[in-house]
Amino acid sequence: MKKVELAALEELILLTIAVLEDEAYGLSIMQEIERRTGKAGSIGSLHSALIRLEKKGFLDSEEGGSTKERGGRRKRYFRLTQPGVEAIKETKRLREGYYHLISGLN
Amino acid sequence: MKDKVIRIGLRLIGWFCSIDYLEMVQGDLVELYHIRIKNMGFTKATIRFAVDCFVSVFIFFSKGQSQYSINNLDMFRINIIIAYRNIIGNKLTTFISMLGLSLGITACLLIVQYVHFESNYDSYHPNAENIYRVNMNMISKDNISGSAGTYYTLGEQAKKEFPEIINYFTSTFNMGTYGQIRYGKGQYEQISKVNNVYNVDPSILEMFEFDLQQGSFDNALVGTKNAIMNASLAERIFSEESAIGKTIYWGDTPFEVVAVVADQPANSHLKFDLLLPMGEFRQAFPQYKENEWSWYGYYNYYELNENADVAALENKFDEFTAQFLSDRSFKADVFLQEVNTIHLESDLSNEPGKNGNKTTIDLLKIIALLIIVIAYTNYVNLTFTTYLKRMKEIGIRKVMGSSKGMLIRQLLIESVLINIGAAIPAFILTIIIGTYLPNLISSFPEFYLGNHWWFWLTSSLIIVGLGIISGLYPAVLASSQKGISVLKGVFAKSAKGALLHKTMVVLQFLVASVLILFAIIVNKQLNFMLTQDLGVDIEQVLVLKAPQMDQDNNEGPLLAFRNTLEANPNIHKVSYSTSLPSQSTHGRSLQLVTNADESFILGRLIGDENYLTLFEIPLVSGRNFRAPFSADQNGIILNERAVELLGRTPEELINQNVILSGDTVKVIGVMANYYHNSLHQKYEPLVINSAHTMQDITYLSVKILTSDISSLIDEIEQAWQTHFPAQLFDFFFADNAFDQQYNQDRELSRIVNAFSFVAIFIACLGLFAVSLFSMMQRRKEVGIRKILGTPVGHLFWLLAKGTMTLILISGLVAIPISYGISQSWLSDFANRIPVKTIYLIAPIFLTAFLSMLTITYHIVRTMRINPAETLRTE
Repeated sequence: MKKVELAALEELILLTIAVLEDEAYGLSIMQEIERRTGKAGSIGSLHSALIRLEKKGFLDSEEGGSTKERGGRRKRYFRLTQPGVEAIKETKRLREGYYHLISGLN
Repeated sequence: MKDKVIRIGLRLIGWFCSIDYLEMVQGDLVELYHIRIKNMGFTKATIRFAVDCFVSVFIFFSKGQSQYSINNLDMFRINIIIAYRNIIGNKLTTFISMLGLSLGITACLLIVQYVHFESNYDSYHPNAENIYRVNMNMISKDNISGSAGTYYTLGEQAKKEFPEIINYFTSTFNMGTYGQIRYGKGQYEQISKVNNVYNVDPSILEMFEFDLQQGSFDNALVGTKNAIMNASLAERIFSEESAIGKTIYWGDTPFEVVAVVADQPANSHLKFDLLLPMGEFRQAFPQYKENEWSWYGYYNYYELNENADVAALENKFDEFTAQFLSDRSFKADVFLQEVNTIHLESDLSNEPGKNGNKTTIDLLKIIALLIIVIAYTNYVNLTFTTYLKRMKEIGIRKVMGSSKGMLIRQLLIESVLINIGAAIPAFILTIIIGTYLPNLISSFPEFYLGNHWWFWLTSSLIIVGLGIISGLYPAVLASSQKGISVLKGVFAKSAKGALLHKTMVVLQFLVASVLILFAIIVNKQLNFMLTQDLGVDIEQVLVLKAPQMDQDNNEGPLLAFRNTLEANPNIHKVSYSTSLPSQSTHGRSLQLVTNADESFILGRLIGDENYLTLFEIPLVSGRNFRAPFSADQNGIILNERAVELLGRTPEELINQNVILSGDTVKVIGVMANYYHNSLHQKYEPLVINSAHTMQDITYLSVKILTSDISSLIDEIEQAWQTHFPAQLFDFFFADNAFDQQYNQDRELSRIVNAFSFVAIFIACLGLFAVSLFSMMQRRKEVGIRKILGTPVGHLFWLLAKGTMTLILISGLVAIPISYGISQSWLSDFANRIPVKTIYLIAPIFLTAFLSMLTITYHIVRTMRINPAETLRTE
């Protein structure tokens, strides 16, 4: 497999989707990120990142549940694929390797 | 409202976003919008929503992810590609339509620039629509003469009298000391020429707009001692130094410069170099003050309050002036002229500058419209011909299921593209010509409109609009044909199409013929005025501005200078006068001693005994003045026209007394009529007074006998320096000055020539393309005729006949139209040429000849094709 490289936003998105489990669709992902980081991103960049991640194969999606607020449009729910989970783990390993080497962090 | 916002935003995204994710993007945006409306209110939410929509569009568009995008955008792109291929594929036709349009647009934009400039004189004053100048018509027996100058009383006194006037100022042109100012440490150290000097009231600074550059307006023009200068004069005489506080001498009177203002805009009717206080003028000419109703050389300007009734005020003025002018031989009719209409609408005597001509401006507007009509008719016609060629393509599109609307849209895109393609070179050409034209045509302003974005924006929008309109008709017609008949090529032969075609060719050549005929008339009239015998010889006459003379009225220096000059073998004669042909005279009234009621106004000039002989004006009766200057103190010489107006014969008047503006004088001679001013007017009544006051002399005419003018001028200047040191040497040629009176006519003639050329050129361009297509359609016919043995001449005539008939029709229709236009233009001239039949017929021959040349190329080419080639194809 190709070496995984995730941008900061992409990593956040993957983590959020993992946390949200079955409730991960565009808007809920955005709100969750906003709640945890306190920063408001734009929905457009989120969409473009989601599509990119799906193309890379880290995400999988299916349509479901339309509501009145959406004008009858279906939500698109995202979940992690196996490579997506691997990518998170890989990033975690990479980071922890660094954290161990930094004295005073533990 | 909310739903509408959502609909617009989502449609925008719909155009660009990949269909796979469209629902997700739209759904999330709408849901977020609803949440935000709850949290932050409608306005903020809507703004954020709009921003999000644009961000989404930007992201999805730039990434090009439209895998299965909605059709619109691609269709649009394909239409553009097809339009581009069509344009490239028909290089000749495209080039011709673009060239025609470009020329038309350029001509039109240049006219717009000129007309805009001429129509916006003085509009830069903040309150221009409430500022008026008072003028008066002096109505006497069978003569009305209008004057821009009025009496001093109409300023000061009128302000007190009429509450409508909230502010006023009086000004007057100061001819002063022959246009020279002196400055520098000593009074006579340096000397410089200044043309436009006015004495004005300080309130001009409140009513007119000035751009103060140095100094201040506090107390400026108050009293008698300070002056305002414009920037170019200040720079010319003081260069880098500040002009403020410097002393200048106008005549012998010193003034302190207290303010320097920027040069007035070119569109100002009252242009000055130097402004002096009115108080000084009143002090210097006490004789005017003694009788305020004697001299009408003051320009009075009022600022009226906004709801003043101008007509009523004019009536009050008439009553007001009537009480003071009851003893005059004329009746004064006072009228008010809005300051921003002076340039185009006012044409009175004593105007402070050369004014424009409304008829010319109106003519130019018509010409601009005609040129645009020609250019676009040409374009429509050409579009038709290309569609004829493309009928199969259109037919197949229809058969394949293209709707009418889609076809029209596609054809319109082409049309707009061609228009934009024509507009770009037209804009560039406009900028280039607009920059250089002021050098060729002096009255053409700098291309200032080019600095305004709105000018370009408006022109672009109009061009795109015209592109749609002009493309619409052929597009609708082409797309509404039945698919099957179009495939057979029936459209080409439909009577409707052919008639329209012909009408447009006729229209184009009609406009071209009208313009050509008008150009002929303008040129002939100009030529007539330039070559007509004036009754006076102004060739080889050098005119010097006379020197400034001492107060004591000593004629010695002038005579000495004249003798020095006349001793020169290259100089025939020298004459002193206050005027000469082309220069203005002073208005005086003349009446018989016996008939005190009937007087008329005539032009007065002062001249010496050489005036008549130098200008070769023959005496009809009586004698010339005697030398020296003052010998005939009370003698006058009238011209025949003046004698005629007095109702006498020349012989009856010789040695009789007449009354000239209140003075009794004796008629010693009668001279033949001559044109003192341009041939726009008839012979005017004139009187020559003998030169008895040296201070009045303004010109010194020198008749020269050599062709080596420059060395003679050097000699004259040397003589001048010895006789009048420290005086400015300035000269012009009498025939040039006379010629300059026709500058406006000459410029009109240039403009009309250029535009009639553009018109006929565009028309021929169109004809060239149209005949190409009609010949292509007749190839087979020509082939068959050739096989059957038609003689070449006959065949040629068969092919040319149709077009030539159209040209003939347009020429005939043009005759009454252009006759009318020419007559109305000529009616402004007192001396005019008759509109001869040959002028009316000439445009027909010219257009016929040119169009014959144009179509011959295609006809000959078609005739030379081997019939075997055209006939074997089927």
